Amino acid sequence: MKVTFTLNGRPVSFEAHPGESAQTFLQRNGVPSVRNSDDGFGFAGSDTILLNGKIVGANILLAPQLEGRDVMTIESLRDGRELGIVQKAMLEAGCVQSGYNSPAAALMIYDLLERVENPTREEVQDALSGLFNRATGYEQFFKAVKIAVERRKNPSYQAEPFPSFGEDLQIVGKPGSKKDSARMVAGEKVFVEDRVEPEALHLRLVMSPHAHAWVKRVDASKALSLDGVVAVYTHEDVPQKTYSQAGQGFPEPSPYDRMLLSRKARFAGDRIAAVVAETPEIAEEAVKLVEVEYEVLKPVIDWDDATAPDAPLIHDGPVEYVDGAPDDLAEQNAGVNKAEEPVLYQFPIGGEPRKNIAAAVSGGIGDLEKGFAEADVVIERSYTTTQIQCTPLEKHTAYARVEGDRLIVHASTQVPYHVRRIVATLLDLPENKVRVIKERVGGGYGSKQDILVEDIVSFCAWKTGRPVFHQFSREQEFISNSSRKPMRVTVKLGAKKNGKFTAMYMNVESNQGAYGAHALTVPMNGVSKSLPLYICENSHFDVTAYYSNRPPTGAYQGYGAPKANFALQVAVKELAEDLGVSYLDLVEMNRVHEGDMLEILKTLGEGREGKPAPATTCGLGPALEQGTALIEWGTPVDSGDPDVKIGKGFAMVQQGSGLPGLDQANCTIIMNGDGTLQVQSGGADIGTGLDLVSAKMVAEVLKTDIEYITVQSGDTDSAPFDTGAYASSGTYFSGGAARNAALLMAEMIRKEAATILKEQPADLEIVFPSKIVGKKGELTFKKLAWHTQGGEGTGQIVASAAFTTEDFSFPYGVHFCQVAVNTRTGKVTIQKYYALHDSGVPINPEYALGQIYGGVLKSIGHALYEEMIFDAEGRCLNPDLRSYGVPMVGDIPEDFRAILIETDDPYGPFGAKSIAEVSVNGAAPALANAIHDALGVWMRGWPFSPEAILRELGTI
Amino acid sequence: MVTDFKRASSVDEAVALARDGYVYLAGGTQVNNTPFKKWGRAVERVVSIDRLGLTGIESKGDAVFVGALTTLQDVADSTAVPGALVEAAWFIPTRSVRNIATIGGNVGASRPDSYIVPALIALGATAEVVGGAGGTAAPEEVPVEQYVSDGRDDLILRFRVPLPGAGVSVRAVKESRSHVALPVVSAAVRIAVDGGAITDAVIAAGCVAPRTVRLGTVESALVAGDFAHAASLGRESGKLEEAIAASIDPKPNILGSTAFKRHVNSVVIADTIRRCIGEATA
Repeated sequence: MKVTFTLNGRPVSFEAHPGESAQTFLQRNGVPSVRNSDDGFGFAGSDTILLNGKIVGANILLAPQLEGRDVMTIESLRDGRELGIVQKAMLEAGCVQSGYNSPAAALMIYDLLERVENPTREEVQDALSGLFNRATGYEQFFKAVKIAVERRKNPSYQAEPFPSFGEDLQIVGKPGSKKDSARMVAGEKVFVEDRVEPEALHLRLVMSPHAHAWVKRVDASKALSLDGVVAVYTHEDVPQKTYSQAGQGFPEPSPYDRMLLSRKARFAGDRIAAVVAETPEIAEEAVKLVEVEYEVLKPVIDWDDATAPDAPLIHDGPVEYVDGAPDDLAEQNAGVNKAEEPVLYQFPIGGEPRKNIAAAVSGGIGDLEKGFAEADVVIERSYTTTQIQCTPLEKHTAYARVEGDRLIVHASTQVPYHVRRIVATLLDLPENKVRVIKERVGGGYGSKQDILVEDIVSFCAWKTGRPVFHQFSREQEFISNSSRKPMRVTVKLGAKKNGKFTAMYMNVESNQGAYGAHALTVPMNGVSKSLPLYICENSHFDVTAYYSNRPPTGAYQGYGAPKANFALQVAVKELAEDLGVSYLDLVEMNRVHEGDMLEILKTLGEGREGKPAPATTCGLGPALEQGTALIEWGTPVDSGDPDVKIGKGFAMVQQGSGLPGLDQANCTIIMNGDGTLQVQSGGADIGTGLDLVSAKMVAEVLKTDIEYITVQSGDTDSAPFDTGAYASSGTYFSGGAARNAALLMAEMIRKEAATILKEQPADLEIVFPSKIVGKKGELTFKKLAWHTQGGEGTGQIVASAAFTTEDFSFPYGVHFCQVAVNTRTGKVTIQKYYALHDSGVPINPEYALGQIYGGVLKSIGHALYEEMIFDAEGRCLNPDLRSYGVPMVGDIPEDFRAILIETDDPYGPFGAKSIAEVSVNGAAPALANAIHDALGVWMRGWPFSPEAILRELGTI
Repeated sequence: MVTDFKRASSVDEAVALARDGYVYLAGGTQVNNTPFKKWGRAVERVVSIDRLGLTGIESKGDAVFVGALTTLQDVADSTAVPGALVEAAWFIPTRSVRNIATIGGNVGASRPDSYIVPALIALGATAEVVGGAGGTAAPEEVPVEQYVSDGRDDLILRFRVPLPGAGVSVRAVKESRSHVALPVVSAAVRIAVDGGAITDAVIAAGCVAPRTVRLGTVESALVAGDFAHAASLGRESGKLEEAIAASIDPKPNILGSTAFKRHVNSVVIADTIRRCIGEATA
């Protein structure tokens, strides 16, 4: 049917299917900015349009409902290449990071300002009420609105600037918008879905409805007889080898335990067959026609199921090792089920799949028994966390196509080079035959560290020889994806009467789900990113990752730290209660201080031998001092309502900055003919501003205006290797590589210029803007380039450098909060939340702040609202954003502040440490401690829901 | 998935199509969902009723007439409709949904957790309906409560919402884990007080049964004076909470256990009753 309407002031008429959503219809007809995050649930807002002047979600409308209406999209807000006032204000306020629904946010703010001249905070919240923003935590939107309001009245209005850092630096540490943000808020084609060509095939997956079952038979004949179906693949068609979807450096500390398509379903949602068809609709129809016969097995849901004497085995095939097979391997493999795929370990990580153990590790320092014997008080507590979904706005998406003898993969990934390696290995291709192009990433948060769709899409493209596209549905994001591992963390602490710790023990039991991605590293990081916050000479840990028939788990921002840190910080407060000492005093007495040697790290090597490392810089002292003053620590607050109790809490946090000794980053800088610079960085910018970090590194060293620097990154054909954006490595490693390359280029520039100026290189200085000044003369980069690139020149100046290190750099922080708890309903309201962070010298201040806000709000969600709920058969009961429970703008703390505390790290580039993950580690313990302060009950399990609080109070 | 979309140019045409199996499509926030929750399956044929002139809010005498296709944002922004209905409209947590969802569509979808239905019931609203499968061709006025309890699917043309008079207080209330989470409490209370005695009580509760229900035993007890003494009405005694808890039997689901839902509904509704009594008395 024809639908005629007005689109951005222009009468248009397009053909539509009666049931087609208005979002698909608009995107199909040239409006890329109207995107789909939630498949018509009307929740996330990525599909926002103005319909007859009102903000609505296009995904919840049918295309024919547009008939005769006026539709405005983000494309209407710009004037040619010039962005509108709202868009510019959003850039200036730093609230465009991953940017998938930034056009939606801009439309919402535009609509608000058309309705209200000077909006209140509540009116801004209402305007953005339909926007799910996982990246930046909403707070900076208020600044964007303020700027837009003022600019509409006075175009020369100057907003209150963000703080600057790095006193002696000219570009690093100073605010400034990243380039991709402008493209995203403009609604440009920057994501994988924008690359899909009309002739592309569409992939849909047949997924198991059972959590644990043998696939006895797959009959695809009816599906194959459907017009438009190109192929149906099953486990018989795919490479007969196991691999890991974990995007980690090779050799990975994760078992190779899955096939591309399964012959044994290990979770409800496991992929059984792949259907490739000419259209999405045909593929979906064909999926229904694939007949699968299952033999249903008993599922394993949690830790205790996994270790029960008669526990079914999730992986009952032979266990194999590439290196370092344990002596009892033959014993482990006695009686294996040869119908099952083997589980291949690259090296020992303590796994015993035939005991449902994917990985295990133990270690420690000192004498634990002696430490507890010396203690006057010993406590032991267990804490549990739930399975949490990363919920990126842009769902997992891949588009693969064949160019001659090469496979090209457009990916939304944190790890383009790992994608290349894993896909190449899976398809038996050399790496030079595979090119991975990381497009802009509409949210990663760890889940895009894993190769969850690129593998099957690449296989289908290579097999059919045609381009193939797939994007997960939101339901698949929940049931077929990776997620945060549920954990049970037991903490045992011993202390003298005065509070001095004598012993610390942590036992981490992790529910790994069906496959073993990150089985060792995530729970182990729980230990390595929490125990070192306290100095205790007798500290030990045990870590065990159990297989289950839950949907697979993997990486999520913070790895295991948010859970273990929750357990440890609450346990310390519980110890303070038992000792009768102040929690703050107990923390101060035992916490890490600058210069302390972290001996425990020698037993936490993430698959290699660890080594102790010093806390070279540590901002915990000033963070505690400023935070206690801000929150008025120790001063009780009365709500004035007998039902509402007020409490305060805090928790220390730490993380790492990449993986010293494991990670590597590389960067190449090329001087163009006019002296401008191309920076080819292996780093994967996932919306965090890493490209801007690289540009600033180069600009600072080579004294060049950032406008004359272009960063190319994420394309494996045009940039050198980088391990990827995970483990908080971007600034430290990728930024470090850019700085190293710039330092090398500076040497090359001085050497070349010295010849031209007839001076000594040591007498030359590179100064702004892009020139070399000597004792006798000066030379611009432009002239230098002309000399070097001419017929008599020495060649284009190209500098390449790597960054590797054995030095650790730890970001620290303290989160303070004040909560009001309604004792009748159990509801928690966060009145104040102050996150104070030592991230060294923050390179991009506004984006660092945004990441703190985003991390805090995510972890507030994890602590208070979010949980994947399963039935007894292992099926997820709430696979959508609303019933799962993500926080929105209406849930942000009433007084929400992120504060950067500057320290000068000697190892990070220009003093920087990481910011990416550390901010998710504080909300759960800070909130639990505040709830205890308010009510006197201990919240030892996520989420601290109203029901859980009422149960602790004994009300129900 | 919808395979046939028609747009009615008259009420008669819409009703005729409905008799052929088409579903009325108002804003679409419910019908376009897959599955349509009222049916538990996807809708295949729809008839859009957006061009039938069913929008607008008009005050007439002691009532307000609200067109069925009036959006919930227009209801939320209205100064003419009773406060409880405005409150209920604002409970819908996102502007983008309020801008397209309609009051008629909300009642027609009859979600058990509707914010609008309890408010309309408590206000004593009626719906002017016509046709529909098994319905009559001539317009008739049906109490919203009956429309919902009978599971009707007639075409709603407009609502008549009486304005609460002196001595009457009506309040809507919700409770949810987070701002946008699905509610565990969606209720509305109407209390009329005359000469210090409660003369009328309506308590409409969603979230506790497959459809919004009235808590008749509690209403009767309030009017009968069972809580006439401050001590028995007061929170300290907990008698009102007990009465409410005894009158509901919410089923456990992802939002919580029966015990939790029973408790939170009882305390939130009891507090709302007390507030209404106070306001009506004042």
